[in-house]
Amino acid sequence: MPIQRYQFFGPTDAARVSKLQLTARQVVEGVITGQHKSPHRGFSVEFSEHREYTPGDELRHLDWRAYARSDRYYIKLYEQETNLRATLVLDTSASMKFGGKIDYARHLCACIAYLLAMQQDLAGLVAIDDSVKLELPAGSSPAHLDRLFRELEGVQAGSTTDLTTQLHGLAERLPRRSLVILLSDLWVEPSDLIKALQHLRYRKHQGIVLHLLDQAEIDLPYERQVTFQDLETNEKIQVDASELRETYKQQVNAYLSEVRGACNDTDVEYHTMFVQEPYDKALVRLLSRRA
Amino acid sequence: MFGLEFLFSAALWALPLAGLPILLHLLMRRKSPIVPFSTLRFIRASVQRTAARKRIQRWLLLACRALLLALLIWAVAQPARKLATTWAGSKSLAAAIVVDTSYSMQLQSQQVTLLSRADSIVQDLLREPLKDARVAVFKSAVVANTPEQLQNASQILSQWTPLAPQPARVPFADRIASAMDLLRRQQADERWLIIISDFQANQFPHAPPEFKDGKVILMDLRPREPRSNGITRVAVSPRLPIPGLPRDAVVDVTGHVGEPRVEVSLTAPDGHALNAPSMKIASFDTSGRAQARVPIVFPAQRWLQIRARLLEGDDLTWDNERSELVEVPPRQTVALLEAPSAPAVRRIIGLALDPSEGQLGAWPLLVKSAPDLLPEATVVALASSEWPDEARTARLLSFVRGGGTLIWFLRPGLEATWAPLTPPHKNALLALLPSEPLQQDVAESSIVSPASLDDPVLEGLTDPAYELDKMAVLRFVPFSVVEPPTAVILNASPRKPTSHGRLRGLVFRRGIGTGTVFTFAILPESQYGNLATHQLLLPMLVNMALRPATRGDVQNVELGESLSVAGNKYDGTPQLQISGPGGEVNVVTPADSKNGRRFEFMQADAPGLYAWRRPGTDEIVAMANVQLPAAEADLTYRAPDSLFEPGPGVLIATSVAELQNRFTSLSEPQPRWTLPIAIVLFLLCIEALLGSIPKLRKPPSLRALFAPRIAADSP
Repeated sequence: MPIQRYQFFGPTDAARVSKLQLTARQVVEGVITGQHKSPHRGFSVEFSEHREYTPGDELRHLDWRAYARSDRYYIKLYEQETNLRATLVLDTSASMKFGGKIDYARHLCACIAYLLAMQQDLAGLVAIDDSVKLELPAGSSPAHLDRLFRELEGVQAGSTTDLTTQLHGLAERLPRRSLVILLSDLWVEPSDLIKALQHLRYRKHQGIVLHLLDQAEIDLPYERQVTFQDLETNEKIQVDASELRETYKQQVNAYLSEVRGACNDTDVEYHTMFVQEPYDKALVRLLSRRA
Repeated sequence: MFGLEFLFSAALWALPLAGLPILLHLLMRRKSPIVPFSTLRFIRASVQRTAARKRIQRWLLLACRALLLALLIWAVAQPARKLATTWAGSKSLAAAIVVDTSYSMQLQSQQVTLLSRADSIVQDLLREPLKDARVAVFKSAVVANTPEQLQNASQILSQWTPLAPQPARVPFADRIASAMDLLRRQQADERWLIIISDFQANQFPHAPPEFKDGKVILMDLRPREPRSNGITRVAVSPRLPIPGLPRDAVVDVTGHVGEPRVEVSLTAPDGHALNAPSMKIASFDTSGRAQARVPIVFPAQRWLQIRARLLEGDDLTWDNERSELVEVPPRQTVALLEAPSAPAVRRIIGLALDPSEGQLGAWPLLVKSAPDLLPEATVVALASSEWPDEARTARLLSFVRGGGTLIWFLRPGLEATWAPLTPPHKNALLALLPSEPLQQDVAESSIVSPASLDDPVLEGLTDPAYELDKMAVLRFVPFSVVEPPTAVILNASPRKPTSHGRLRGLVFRRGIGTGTVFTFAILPESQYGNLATHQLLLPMLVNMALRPATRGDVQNVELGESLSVAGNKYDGTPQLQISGPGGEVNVVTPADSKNGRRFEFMQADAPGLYAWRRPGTDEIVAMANVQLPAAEADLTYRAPDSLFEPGPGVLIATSVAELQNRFTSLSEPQPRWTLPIAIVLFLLCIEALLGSIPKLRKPPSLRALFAPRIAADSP
């Protein structure tokens, strides 16, 4: 596929990503035969079980050896392999502007979409903050990919977040057994996040959460008096950052542990990604660990 | 501020700079940079948790820094304090001058006595620094003369009489305490307690109390090296002077100068020499004390004065001579009663009472053999081989009650004849005997020991030279346990302890009326022991025979003490005359007490001999020897700084000029850096501590320990 000059995807990215593979860890339902396990039985390489012959079955699937042993006709059944339908859910709330997380997320979205397209899987894109700003259905054609890249360039962060409500909506709208990849800084209540993830799992979707963070959000590396302004609400608060750093770090770490626990409880993959690490390396590391 | 002055007070204008930390804090607070942040959720929660603590800590830190700056400015301003006011200040001043006029101040130092120096110092002080002050002067005196009011210095100066030595009956430390009390009662801006003394150790049996209400000025007149020896005591040993018997004149000397020669002589009250002076060299021990013992024999004269004199002159002259007045007991007539038996015993007793048998005219005892009591006899000696009959017993009892002395020897074995006596006879005898004799034959070898070492009969006789331990007794009359007024003088105890052997009395004293009975439970015969040949017999019998009542007629006192005579012999005497060393005569009226009449004379204000006489007669009934206080001769001193702890309130000087220099130097403000610098260092520590608190890590909670950390997922 010819790589044009996109803002968030370039030839270098293509070269790096083309060697990688993103597989679903659970069964998914696709539209074509692919490399992912399907819940349906079909005819492919992987043997599954025998079934008695019924008129109409193709004779080439008869198991002659079984017939020789039992004098009865059996049809060999194989696991059906299908392609993957993945939806990239991009959090575009204003908090994603901090530390360039939104750009980092757009790079990741582009790379993952390209990777999926290269392995004949479908990739869709949903941008949400307090509402759905963009919803691009899954596809794998070069034209779809081109559109996805263009749409990414138009996505901007700048509003409050209502991530969990929008996840509930997505869980209902997306086709069953999709792969939902959430890219967000997850500044939401963990209890609400748990409910949203449980909803996704209830709808048989597989979830991957890429928690994007800036190291400054963990360490609060500011000295003396600082006036912090909330990017979403514009609220200001003046503090001596050095005085409350330790307390702040304890609170943030407790929150992250809670989020991680919520993902584990709902069988959703959870990965933390710091924007200080180049996105391509972070992606390689992520996929290597999943392989 | 706090009585401080500032040597660089202009620096205090910078004190508002102390508010700089607070100002900077407020300015920095307003201009803090705005940092867009993803969420304030955790920041807000952290602020809520730490806000109160941090606010207090922050303001504490600010206060600490502000104070730090203020103290630094204070230190730069050089705080200083005047330790003393000016030499002749204009403030209202109350002063008490306690001047030592004791006899030790008579010591000459650089051709001037210490007392003269003290006199000059007092006058100089009254003229210059105390000229506008109200002052009280405390001097040594026989009786406490504590001033109750302060006077103007000029008034004291106008009435000033040169200081004269006085006996100090009240310790100098107590007079200082009185002066302190007087000063404390005064309304004044400033109070000075001025002590002028040689700080002789015996004047300070205890340290004076602390004085915090003003300044203590110590004028130290101690000589650097006192060149003086002094006689502190003259005594006779043994104490009872008996003509013809050898005695020692004991002379105690104190000092540190060489080995002084001590000359001892005997004089009559009129100063007439009675013998050739004897000389002895005294060797001081390490504490500066020496004792010289000079043998002396008293002539038969009632009043005698033992005079001791140091032959070498020194810087303190009055203590180079001292005397002791003694009264030789008057000659006593002893009636040696004839008894039916034991003529040898009578002879031994007679020889013991008068070895020369009347040949020695000075001997105080005149022994006469007589069948019965003699009217002129004051002492009766009796050796009984059998109990005296009732009539003789009654006469003896009457004699003793009248003031006579009975020396009674009993033959061992008499106890066996006690039982057949009639009860009236027994009762009569029991009035004289120590107690009832026991019907128990004591015939075993016993050794003799004194019942009390302080018994006047044994005075000087317990010395090992008399070999009391070699007196042996083979048999004696046992008496039951004696009770007062009877006392045991000598005890006998079995040489070999047996089951029934015990300590028993051998020689007894019993007071009856104004007389005394001395009972020997043994005869001086060889079959009963070696009493007859023992060297103790003679002096013991003489001590018993000489009447102790006469000893109260002589007094050796120090100046300031009262002179007195007392006793029943003055009953009916309406008054006595006492004549002093200058010839002055005073009439003294008595005060009656249970011990008889007592005449007391308090105005003995000059050393010398005082004689008591009955009006209209020349006979001296008693004498007193008044001398200067011996303790003043002991020139041991205490350092003034051991009495008052040196400090800003205590000045020690040896002269008025030196004192003025001390005042001049102390009136200069002295920088006081220690306090501000100490506080600055302390605040720096607190500042560092407060500043480091946010950096201290709290111990992780259990949850933080076990929860998976986000770092596990980070590269």
